[in-house]
Amino acid sequence: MSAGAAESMEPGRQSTATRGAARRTFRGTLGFFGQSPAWPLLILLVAFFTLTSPHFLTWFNVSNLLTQAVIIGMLAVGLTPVFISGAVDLSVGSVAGFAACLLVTVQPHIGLYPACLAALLAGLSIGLFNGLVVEIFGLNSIIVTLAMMLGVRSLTFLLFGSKTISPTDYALSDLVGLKLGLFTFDVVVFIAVSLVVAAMLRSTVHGINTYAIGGNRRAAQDAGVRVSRHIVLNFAICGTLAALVGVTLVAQLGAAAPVFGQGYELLAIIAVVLGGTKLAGGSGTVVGTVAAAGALTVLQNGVNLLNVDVRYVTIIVGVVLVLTLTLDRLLSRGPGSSE
Amino acid sequence: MRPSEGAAKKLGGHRVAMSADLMLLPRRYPVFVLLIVLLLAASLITPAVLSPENIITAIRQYAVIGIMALGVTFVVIGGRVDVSIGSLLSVLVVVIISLHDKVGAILAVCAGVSIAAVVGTINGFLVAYLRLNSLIVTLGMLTALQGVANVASAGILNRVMDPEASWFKVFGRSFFLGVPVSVWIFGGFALLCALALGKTNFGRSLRAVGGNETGSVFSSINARWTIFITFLIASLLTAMAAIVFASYAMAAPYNSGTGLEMTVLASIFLGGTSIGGGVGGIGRTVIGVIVLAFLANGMILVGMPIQAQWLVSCIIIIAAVLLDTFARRGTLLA
Amino acid sequence: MKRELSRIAKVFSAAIAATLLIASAAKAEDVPDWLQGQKLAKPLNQVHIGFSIRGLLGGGDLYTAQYVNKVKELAEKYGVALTSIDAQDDPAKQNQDVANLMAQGVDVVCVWATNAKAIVPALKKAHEGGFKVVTFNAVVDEAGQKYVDAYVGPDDYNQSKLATQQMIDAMGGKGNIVMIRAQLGFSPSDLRAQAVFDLVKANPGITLLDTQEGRWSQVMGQQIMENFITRFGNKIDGVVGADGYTSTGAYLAVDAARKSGKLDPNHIIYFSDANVVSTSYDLMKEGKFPGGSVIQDPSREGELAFQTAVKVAEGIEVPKQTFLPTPIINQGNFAQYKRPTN
Repeated sequence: MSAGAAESMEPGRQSTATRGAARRTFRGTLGFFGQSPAWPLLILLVAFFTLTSPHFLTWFNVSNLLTQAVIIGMLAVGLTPVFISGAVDLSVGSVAGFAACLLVTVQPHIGLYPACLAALLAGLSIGLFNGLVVEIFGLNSIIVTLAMMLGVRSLTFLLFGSKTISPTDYALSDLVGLKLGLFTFDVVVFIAVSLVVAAMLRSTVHGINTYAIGGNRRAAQDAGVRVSRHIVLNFAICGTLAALVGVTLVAQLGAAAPVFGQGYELLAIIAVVLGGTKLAGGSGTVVGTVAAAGALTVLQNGVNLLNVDVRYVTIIVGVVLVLTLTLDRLLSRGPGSSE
Repeated sequence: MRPSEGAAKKLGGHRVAMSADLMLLPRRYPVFVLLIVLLLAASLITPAVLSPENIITAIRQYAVIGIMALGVTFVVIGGRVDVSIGSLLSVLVVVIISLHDKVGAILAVCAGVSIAAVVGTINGFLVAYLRLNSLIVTLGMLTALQGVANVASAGILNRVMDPEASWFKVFGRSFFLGVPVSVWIFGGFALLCALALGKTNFGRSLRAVGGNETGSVFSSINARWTIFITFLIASLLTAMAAIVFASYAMAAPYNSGTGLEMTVLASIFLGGTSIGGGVGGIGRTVIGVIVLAFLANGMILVGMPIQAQWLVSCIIIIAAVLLDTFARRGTLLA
Repeated sequence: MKRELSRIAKVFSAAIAATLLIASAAKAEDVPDWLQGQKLAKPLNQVHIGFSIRGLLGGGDLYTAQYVNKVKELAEKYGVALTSIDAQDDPAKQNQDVANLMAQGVDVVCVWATNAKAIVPALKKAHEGGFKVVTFNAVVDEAGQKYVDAYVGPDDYNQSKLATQQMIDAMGGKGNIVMIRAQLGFSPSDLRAQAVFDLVKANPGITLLDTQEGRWSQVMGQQIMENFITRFGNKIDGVVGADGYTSTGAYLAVDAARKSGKLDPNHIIYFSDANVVSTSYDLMKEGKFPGGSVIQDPSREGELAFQTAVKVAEGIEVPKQTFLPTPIINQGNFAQYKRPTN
């Protein structure tokens, strides 16, 4: 990410050396925040809403915020390793819905905790399937997971019907309702999961290889990395976390509907890319993803608190997204690859 | 080009060359074979599937998606994506229909095209010159445009009061030589786009930029301009699609285009074009559109229950991609 | 760079500020006639209503938009503060929306649920948090009824039942029908479809040839009907649409097929849907819409919803359930009713 050297090659740029140095210092001081436009956005939004709405920084609202961030946040965290390795998974929303319905359907037969396990296993299997199809046949992950998005959703309707199902045992909802100060149980799980995935990416061989594969698959292969295994593993993790989101939905809503999760994949992808992970792969952090998920949640929450007309909310979200990227690009003016 | 094709052409005989090309069609585009097989299977349940009327109906029902897909193909070959087209369609349809009765069809169309041009310019500028991530930019644009469509239509169904009286109906409702005008438009633009992609300097630059994105290529002005233009093309073709849609519906709910971007992208990727790959082109997109068109049409005609339709789509899409990859690569396994 | 930064920051904040100014202050008015003689807990312009709408997008019907517009219009007229949030037909989001309304300290939480069961935890939280709860348009699950102070609305199931029964009677209880329903898994759509399924079971002379999914849209209605005509031809005696837009589309397809000879012009086809719109009203006027529909006036309902919400906020007693009448409308009696504006 050395902006200085390449910049001096561009014609007409004056005092590139000093500008480059200034930017590097700026970036340096931001430390690990610098990689992602999400942190400045998050801080800016929090500051803005604190100043403009008396309800924003209340105990009640912050607690809500944290809970609200869990759903998209966990999906996005699961997607991050997949993206870093250079692939995409569009089926996560459907997997969440499938897992939710599976949980509630088998719960009366095998009990609550085995049912949760079954749901997670289902997510794992679907993720495995995605990864295997992509790797064994060398297919484009976009179209495969897009097809799976349809297929899994269809299976959900076929196997579990189109009606909403209530769980017979609300123990899960009660568990989620437990509070430790600001944090409800689902928030704690989200934080724990994020830490685990982050640690995996940073410190394990698998994580390091994931970055390598994303950066240059060919080179990684030539260096002896077993590319396929790592990619399949990432898909499996992604599927499992998507299933975990499904379980969380059941806990939060006390019911499961086959339409759960519809459209979530897009929001999760926004969070991942906004968090600094490049679509082409090779870089990204869980921390950035979490910050981005947080920023999006804060934006949604704050805009609601400020009583902005519903029809303008979508316009604002879109504009803010683009503005954030623009600002970030302008602040780090460098000819690095954008995709 | 495969050796046999070259040989056929050298022989000079027009007829020989043509038959050689035709023979290679199933091998080059096995998805076609899959499509024919499916249609034959469907016709066993509902013979009407293969009737010429139905074939035309099926394509006509996907003409709007097809026109949009043509434009987005350029973006994808350049290594980017554009998901804002669906919401753009919604906005344009609202604009065109609401202005039709007030200022006349011509001005309404001009307004629509101008808006499309503005959106395309913004997208292109942000992605090509500021080098922002195209997925996020166009996702942001998608959300923003959805909101604009909401506000602009303000809860009232805009409608053209007397559709039959307007010449505007020609785009979506009229027939020419038995084939709907919208299908002619799709076909015509497909040809134009194929020519643009294959025969012009622009097309060649686009393939170069899409396939090879090192820093040096990118710092050249030409590359940025090329990417910029692709977004403009995508938006303008969406405008054409909006004209066809508006003409067909003569009414504008605010969500005409919602979700269409998924189908458009599916048809492009189904056809075999990959993001920034050297592979891909208009022909592949057209095939993708046609496969999806017949899939949608066929599933309804055989009376497939709604819940099963997505599953069948999933299986067929994966099968099609497998087939296509097999044909290109020669082996099934990577 | 500093100049760039400050310039951009200024534009950014200006954009946000401008957008927020659009939520303008409202002018208060005197006590309206529907509140005459009632004791008010606080002046009208201090009332804050929170409204969680199921979705303007997603299902995509203009009915919702008109409903919401009416509520907004009345809120502005009487100076009542209104916060409305769109759940985009996502049950999880609606849960969050209700929490956000509570965070603002509204006087009454009004909910138009997108999912009758999944909304229950949110209602529970609101009720236990001391908020008054009013539900609109969508009846919530049994388990949640104890948290609800009042319900105002029509009933998708009954509307569909009335309209479809009307069509079946017009058909003499015999014939083949097709249905173009709205998305699977969405309450209004599921309820309307279920009514049709139940009626078909109850009327052995009626056969449901097929059901396919449209999107509350005229264009989709037309395209699916085209495919139905290709498949079934003159076997079709009746079409049930998800709403007036769908059946308008179906009519257009039938009309085109009659003109091109695919359908016998002398063969009567009946139409039915669960809410009339301007286009289907016009068709009834022109005698092209045998069968009929049902009136569900979004403006009138929005008005009633608003009044109920204000009353509940002011501590005035309201009936626990108010079902809005949805009279049938057909070629015979359309003249009695005003043409819908949507």
